[in-house]
Amino acid sequence: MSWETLAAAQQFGAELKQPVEAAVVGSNISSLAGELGGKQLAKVHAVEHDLLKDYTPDGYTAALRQLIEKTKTRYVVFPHTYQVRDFAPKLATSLGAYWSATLSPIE
Amino acid sequence: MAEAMQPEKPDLILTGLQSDDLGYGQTGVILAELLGLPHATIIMQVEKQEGGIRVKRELEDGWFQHVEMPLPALLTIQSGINKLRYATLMGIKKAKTKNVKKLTASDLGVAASRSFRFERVYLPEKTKRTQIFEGAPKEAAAKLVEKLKFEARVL
Repeated sequence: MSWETLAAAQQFGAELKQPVEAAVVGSNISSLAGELGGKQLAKVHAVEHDLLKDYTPDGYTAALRQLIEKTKTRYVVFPHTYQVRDFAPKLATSLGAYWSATLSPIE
Repeated sequence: MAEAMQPEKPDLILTGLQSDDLGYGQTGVILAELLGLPHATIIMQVEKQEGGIRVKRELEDGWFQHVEMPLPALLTIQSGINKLRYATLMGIKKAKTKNVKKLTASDLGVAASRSFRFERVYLPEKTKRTQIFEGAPKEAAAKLVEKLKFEARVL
């Protein structure tokens, strides 16, 4: 999550006429999720677990896969960070989806 | 690749981090998921230890992270962590006798289907714009510095 990604998702959502939801992953993240509460989002998901305190590709993939499956999300937008690049291809593969890196801009 | 590697049951798979041209950096990570292996990316160093390996990962802003992981595992290697050596004449001769196994998609029983299609590869399109800063030299210079710092981001 980053503000830049949020703005891209909002723009993408407006073009596709789809609601935009955001998710934060970790442990003790209620304040982060609260911060997102003030943004123009249909929903904010706080994915919390003690095992998500420190980042691991396995943990983040398992958590986000469950969320994406549960919410039946069609498009997921990530910030282009080293951490995202560490697990996003794994997450996409586990969902039978594709991850396209370094997008700017989305057409 | 996953289908070809599976029967070999490797303890450790090393891939590059990303290609120089497209820079997707996905091959290793997807491979690990398909093989059901733990992975770590942007590896700077690998040490063998009891029950597995300890690796040094590169993070953003010059930070590093040490991760302990079990084997089998897959690592994507950052460039420059080892020095290349020239193969000896003997080595080159020996390499010629090594068995190279060639596999096709049908040998592996997988259908080669394309899910991604390239539309266009191009260099960033630049447009030239000239801007003249009016006013006293001091003010104009300050404006120029500001533009170079925040718009051109070259300072």
